[in-house]
Amino acid sequence: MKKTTTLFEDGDHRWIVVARDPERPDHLIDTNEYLITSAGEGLLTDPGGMEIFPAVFSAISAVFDPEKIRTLFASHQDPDIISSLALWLDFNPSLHCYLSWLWDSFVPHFGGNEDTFRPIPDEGMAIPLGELTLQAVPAHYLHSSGNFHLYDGKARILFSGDIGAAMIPHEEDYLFVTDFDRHIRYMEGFHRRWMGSNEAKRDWCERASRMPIDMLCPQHGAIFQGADVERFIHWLDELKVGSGIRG
Amino acid sequence: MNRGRRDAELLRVVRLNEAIKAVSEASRQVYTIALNAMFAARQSQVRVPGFNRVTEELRVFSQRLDRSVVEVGGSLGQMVRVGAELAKQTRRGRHFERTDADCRRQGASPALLAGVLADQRARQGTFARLLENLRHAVLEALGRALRLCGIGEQLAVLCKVEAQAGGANAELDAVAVRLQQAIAEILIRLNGARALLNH
Repeated sequence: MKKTTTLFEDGDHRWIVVARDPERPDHLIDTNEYLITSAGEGLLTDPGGMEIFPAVFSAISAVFDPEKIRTLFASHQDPDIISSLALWLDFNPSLHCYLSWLWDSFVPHFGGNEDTFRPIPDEGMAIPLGELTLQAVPAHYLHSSGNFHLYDGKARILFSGDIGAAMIPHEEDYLFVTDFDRHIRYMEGFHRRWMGSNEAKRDWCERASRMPIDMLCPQHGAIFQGADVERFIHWLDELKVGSGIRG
Repeated sequence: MNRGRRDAELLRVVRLNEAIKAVSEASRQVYTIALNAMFAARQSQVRVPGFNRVTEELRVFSQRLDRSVVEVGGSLGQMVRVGAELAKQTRRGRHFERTDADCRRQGASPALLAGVLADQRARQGTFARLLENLRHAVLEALGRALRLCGIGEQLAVLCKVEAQAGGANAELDAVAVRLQQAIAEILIRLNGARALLNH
């Protein structure tokens, strides 16, 4: 079963990461799901693929009532992000899923109907959750052409989708970055290949550097905290991406 | 409101899990109340040896109940996992059944998907049996917890009797009432969980 770790807690305003399944088969990429709660309501970011639904669902149910998850947030359209949608809807047919307007007729191939989706316009939007207002932050072309991150200004946490992702080997399965320089080896190749636009990356880095962020939480790999957040943004800003063009 | 088909089995397991989480919380409350009762008795001027003895027994009871609830919770955690797996397999099964019906309408041989459907049903059957076995294990564990609560109920009554015997101290009497209420609450929740499981 996946493990849950509380990242932030202020009353019932919480950020909980669901990560690291020791039973996960090697052919499935590891993913981090984040449960945000406020005033008894939950929002789950990038709930993951159909194959890992039992692991994610059971881990969450140990710490939060899954019936109170009313909202899903999909950073983009990939199968490891949202192919479990139909199963979440089987459990709660009134769930809403926020995702880029670009994908609102593609993702229904995984499940859902006209009531399910809340399309996010390119410029982003506010997403209510209990007593909070979260912000869908544009991150287009990083890597998907319709891509969003989710910012919680009160907790100062940014869910950053594939930005900050790392392929950490099993034997070093740490959840928080503690040695940034060493961590680079696990994220460099990923960012060079998966991020397609230097212009989009520069634009994101400029915006992110102006946001107060205590934790940067990617969908794969480890979480950046404190000074490592700024370090990461500078590192990404310098990195040349789009390596696939060179073959 | 969406009009999807709700997975009733998974929902039932989740609600059961929530009920047991509430029992666990209530059993910790019994421990705290019993502990506070001991301090209150120590601070009161009246001699209440019987009351002290019963609150000590209640502390032991709440610890035993907590262990019992942890046992139920462990099996329920597995039930949630298996229930979610069954939900996944059931959805796959529905896809194949729809595909089979479409293929037959197009004139395909019933043999085309027969093997896949049989495998899928076998998988669903495996998880359904596993879920049933876990349901039995949880029912038994709940039965043990309920029997334990019967003892707790008697202890709470004794606590009230001893509080009154110790000079009708109002504070001790109030503590005894709180203990009775907390145990009654646990009993209601455990019975509710059992009803949910037997449904």
